[in-house]
Amino acid sequence: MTKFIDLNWNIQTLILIWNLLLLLVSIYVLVRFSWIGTGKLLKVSQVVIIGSSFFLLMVLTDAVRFRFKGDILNYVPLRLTFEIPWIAAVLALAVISAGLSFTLFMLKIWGDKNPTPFTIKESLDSLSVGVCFHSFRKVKLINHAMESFLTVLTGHPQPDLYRLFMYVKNTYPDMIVPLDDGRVIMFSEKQLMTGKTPVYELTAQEITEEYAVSKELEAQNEKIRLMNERLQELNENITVLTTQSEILSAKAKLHNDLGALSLAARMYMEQDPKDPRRTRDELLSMWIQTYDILESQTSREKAADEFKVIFGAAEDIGFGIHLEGELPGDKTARKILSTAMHECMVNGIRHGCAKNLAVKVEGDWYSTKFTLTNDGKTPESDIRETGGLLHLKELVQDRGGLMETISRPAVTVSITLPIGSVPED
Amino acid sequence: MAFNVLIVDDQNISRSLFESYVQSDPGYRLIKALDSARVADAYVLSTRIDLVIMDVVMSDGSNGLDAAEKIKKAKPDCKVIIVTSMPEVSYLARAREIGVDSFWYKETRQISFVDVLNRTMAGEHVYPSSTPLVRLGNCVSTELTDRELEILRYLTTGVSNQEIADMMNISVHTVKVHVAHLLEKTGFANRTRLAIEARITGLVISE
Repeated sequence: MTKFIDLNWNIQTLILIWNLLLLLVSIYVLVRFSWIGTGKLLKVSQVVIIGSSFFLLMVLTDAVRFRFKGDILNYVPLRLTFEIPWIAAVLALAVISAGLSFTLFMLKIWGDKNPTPFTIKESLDSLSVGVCFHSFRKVKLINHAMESFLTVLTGHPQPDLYRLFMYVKNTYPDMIVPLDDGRVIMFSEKQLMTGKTPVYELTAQEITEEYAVSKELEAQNEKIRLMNERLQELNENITVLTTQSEILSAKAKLHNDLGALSLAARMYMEQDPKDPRRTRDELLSMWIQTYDILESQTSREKAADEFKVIFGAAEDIGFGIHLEGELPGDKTARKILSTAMHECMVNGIRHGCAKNLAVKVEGDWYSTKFTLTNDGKTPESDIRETGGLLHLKELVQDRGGLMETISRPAVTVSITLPIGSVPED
Repeated sequence: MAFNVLIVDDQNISRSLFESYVQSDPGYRLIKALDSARVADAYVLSTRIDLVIMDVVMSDGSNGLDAAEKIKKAKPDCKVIIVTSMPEVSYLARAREIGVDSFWYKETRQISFVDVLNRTMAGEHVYPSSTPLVRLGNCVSTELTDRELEILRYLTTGVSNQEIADMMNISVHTVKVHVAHLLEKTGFANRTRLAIEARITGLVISE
C-alpha cells in the first residue's frame, strides 16, 4: 500500500483526502443502491463491479499524487504492472468494470425515468387482477389475467369491450359475474382522462372465496331475520296463548266443580228428608251458577275498543265526556287520544273533583289537534307533567308531536300531531 | 257491611268465576266486572271500592300491574289482589314493590282463591313463597340468575345483542356471555329456540 501521511496542504494531501472520500462513497453506494434484480449473484457482481471501479479510481488518483511527487516510477502498483502481467490484467479488468458500472448506472437512471411499453406490459402481466385500458372499443393495453377472464366469459380474449361492459352492467347490476369454470369475478370500470381522449380502465378481480362467504352470510342473515320475525309475531300473539291457557285452567276447575256438584246432588237425593243437610234451592243455585259460567265461555273474546272502554267507564261513574269533532282513524292517534282522555278524566276527578271533560278534535291537511279541558277546580300551582302525563308526553313526542299543559283558568291539555310523519304501528 | 269489589279480568270465564266467588259470599258486593285494566283507576277514584281483583295480562294491551300501581298511589287503602296464570318471574317482585296486598296464581292448588280473598280483607298479605317452578329445557327457572332472566326477557323480543347491551347499559361481550350461559344451562341449540320456549312457558313476558 502507498504511504500517505503528509499533512501539508498541497496537492498530494488533497489527493489523499480525495481517496478517502472515494472510499466512503463506495461504501455508501454498496449499502444504499440496489440495482437491477434482487438475486444474490447479481448483488455479488454489483459489489465486485463497484468495488473494483472505486479501487481503480483510488489507484489512478494515487498515481497522480506520485507523479506530483516526481516519483511515479516508484509507484508500486505501476511498477508491479510492468513487472507482473496478471496485475496488469487485474487493472485492465478494473478499468472495464468501472466503465461497465458507470454505463449500467446511467442506464438504470434513464430506465427509471423512461419505462418502455414492454416494461409496463411485463409488470401488468405479473398481476393476478385483470386490467385493461381501452378507448372507444379499442384495446390499448390488456394483461394476461384479463384475457383469461374474458376468454372464459365470452370465448374471446379481446371481445368488444363496450358491449361486454353494457352486458355485464345490465345482467349483473352489482358487477359480480360468476364464470362457467366456477370462479366469480368482480368488474369495475373508471374513466381516465389523458389529453382530450378519454381512456377507460377496466379491472376484473377474482373474488370466488369472498363471494361464497358473503352468500353464506346472506343466507344465515335471512334465516335469522325470518326467525326474528316469527319471534316478534309470537311475542305479539302471546297474549292469545296466555288467554287460552287461562281459559283451559278455568275450564278444568269448572269440570272439577261439576264433579263435586254431581256428588252433592246424589247426596241430596239419598239424604233423610227429615234431616236435610242441603236444601234443593241451594243445590239449584250452585248448578245455575256453574252452568252460567260454562255458558259464558261460548261468547267470543274480543279486544275492547279503547274509546268504548273509556266512554263506558265514564258513563258508569257518572262522568261526562263531551266530544266535539270526529275520533281519529289513525291507530297511533287513537292510542294517544284515548290515553289523554283517561289521564285527564282520572286527574280531574282525583285533583279537582271534575265531573266533565270537553274533548275537541280538529285537523287540517298537515296536523291533528286534540284539546282536552276538564271542569275541575283551578289548581293552586302549575301542573307538573309527571306519572301518567309524562308518559303521555313521551308518546306524543315519539310520534313527532307537541304537548302542552295549561293550568289556568282551567286545566287543559293540548296535543298536536303532524300528519304523514306519524308512523303506523 | 259488605266489602265493595271491583273485578278486572279480560277473560269471560275467569271473570265469571271470580264473580261467582264474590256473589256467593254476603260479605262482598260486586260493584263492577271490567274486561280492561285501562280504566280501573277511574272506578276506584269515583266509587268506594274496598277490593280490586286484578288480572295482569289483558287482551287490549293494558297491564294489571300498571293499573294496580295507579290505584295504590291514588287510594292506598284500597286492597288489591293480583291474579295471574303466568309464572313471569318479575310479577311477584313488582307486585310487592307497588304494595299489592296479595298475589294468587290461578294454577295453584296450595291455597284457594276464597282463602286468599278472606285473609286479605282480614288484613293479611298473602303471597306465594316463590314463582311457580318452570322447566326450561334442561333446567328449572330457579337455576337462572336475575340477570339471565332479564336478558332472556329481551331475547324474546328478537332484538340483537347490541340492542340488549344498549338497553341494559352493559357491554356486548357481557350479553354474549350471559346468552352462552343460558344456552348451556337450558341445553337449547340456539337463542331463537330458547326465546320461543321461554315465551311459551310464560317464564318471561316482555312489555
